[in-house]
Amino acid sequence: MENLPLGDFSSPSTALQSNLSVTLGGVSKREGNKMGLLSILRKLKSTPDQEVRILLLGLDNGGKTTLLKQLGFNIKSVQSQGFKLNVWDIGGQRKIRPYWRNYFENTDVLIYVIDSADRKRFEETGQELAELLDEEKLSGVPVLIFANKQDLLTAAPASEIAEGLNLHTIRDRMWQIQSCSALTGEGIQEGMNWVCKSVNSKKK
Amino acid sequence: MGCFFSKKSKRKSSEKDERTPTTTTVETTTTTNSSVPLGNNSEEPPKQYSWDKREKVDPKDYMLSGLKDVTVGRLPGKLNGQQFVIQDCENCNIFVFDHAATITIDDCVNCRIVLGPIKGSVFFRDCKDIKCVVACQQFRTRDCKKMEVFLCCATQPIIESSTGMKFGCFQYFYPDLAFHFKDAGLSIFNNNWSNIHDFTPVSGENNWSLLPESSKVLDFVPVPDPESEFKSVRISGDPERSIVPLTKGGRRKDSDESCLFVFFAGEYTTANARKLIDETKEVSMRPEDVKRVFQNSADELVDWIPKGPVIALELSGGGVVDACRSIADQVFPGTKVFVSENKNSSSRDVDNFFNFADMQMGL
Repeated sequence: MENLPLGDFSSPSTALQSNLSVTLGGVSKREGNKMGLLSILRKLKSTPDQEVRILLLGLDNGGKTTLLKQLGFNIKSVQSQGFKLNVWDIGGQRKIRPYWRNYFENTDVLIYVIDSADRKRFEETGQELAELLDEEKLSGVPVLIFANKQDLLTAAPASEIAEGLNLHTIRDRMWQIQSCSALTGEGIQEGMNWVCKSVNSKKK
Repeated sequence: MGCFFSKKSKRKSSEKDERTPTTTTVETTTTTNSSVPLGNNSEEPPKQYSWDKREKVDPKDYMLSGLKDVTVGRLPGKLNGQQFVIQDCENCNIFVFDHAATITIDDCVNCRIVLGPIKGSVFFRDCKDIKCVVACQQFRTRDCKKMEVFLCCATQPIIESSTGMKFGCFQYFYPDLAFHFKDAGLSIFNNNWSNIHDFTPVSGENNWSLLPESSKVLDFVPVPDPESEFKSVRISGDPERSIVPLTKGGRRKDSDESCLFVFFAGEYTTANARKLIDETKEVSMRPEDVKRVFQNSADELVDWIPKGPVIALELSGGGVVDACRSIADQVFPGTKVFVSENKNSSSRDVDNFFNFADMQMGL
């Protein structure tokens, strides 16, 4: 892959893909304080050793990496027995979107992040989402749309984005739009609860 | 699915369409429509969040749109950490003298722009012939051409499908600027202005380069018209007065000798430190980091770590170690500092510290 940046967590240049894996088990006190992630993972009432594969997509500058940080994912995640949550955070610059398809296979749930306050790019993000939902390899995969950056003054509410994206016409899979602020954490837990619910439904 | 927002069904090409040169109207609907479904298998009604309860604002108050040949912007205290949008401006002088959450700049041509410290990202799209001063956590461009940027950026700046991009170190002063940096949560010591990542490099060409070191910011972005609303803002372009210390970035050092000079938290004189600055980093250290970085001096320094982040400076020039040691004695006798012992150990000190700092900031 050409010219991939070595981005850090808060930098715009997410390496083409960061694979972050958290194993629930002996979670350190610091992790335990990330109440969102811990309680989310507890809700995944499945047999141990189950692997859940989450694909995190969206335009560049949407807040994907901040979302992961808010969820408590970091490279120092604790290794232990339990089940494994694999989140693939793929860079969203236009130039590298063609590489998204390399990560479609075996995805259990798609999380699509939208910058609700960047109205100039609503058309573009709607377009990318529409193409994803047309992808054979993602057929039937539940999709959670985070209407992110609600903390910003000009953010469009989730209902407006849902309307603009014609989400109600999605018939072939479970879907949900959730307003949130990855910066403050509001709305994140609710979205992840839905993710867990949808994974459990699908796995049955 | 089909997208109501989209005007054409094909993937957007990289060529720009013809645009009608009028002011852009923006949908101002910010009320939630409760009859719109938000999912197809959710049972709970949507919760109320802080953004549902706050006072509704007119997005137009946080936007400059469709302006030509004018001097505009915001005075200190008039933006107060909110989002700001700049679009479709031509031949304007734009001054945002306040801190902001995030700023997007779209379809602007031949403008001179000063942006106060931004807590999040600054994103320039489809802009041309821009000269600007920007301080931010993330800097992004897409489809831009010919920009000259005096930059303070906490992370690696990125450009995409952009050419003729030139970068220099942030240089600017106005009286409230230091407060605005604090409000935006930006450190004046963490500035990655010179190492740009290009998502669309072209072999045989450079889409970006560094401005000459001698570049003076006011030659690029002059002070506002004295008749404008900004006449009360006392600006200085003097590099010595710049809130962000000037750093050489990736430029070759004039000398091979370096010295590590570290100010521990609590007592330092920023103004004096500025004169010696070459490269700076502000980062938190743990006791075990201290031992590895400072080696023999470690024991006495460990106690200082819990007091707060350290500021480390790499200084270079002939005789710099001797100069630093004597300055430490004469100018900072009561201040807890670390200074390299001699020029043989100093380059290792510098490498140890900055390798450590780079790793810290990557996690």
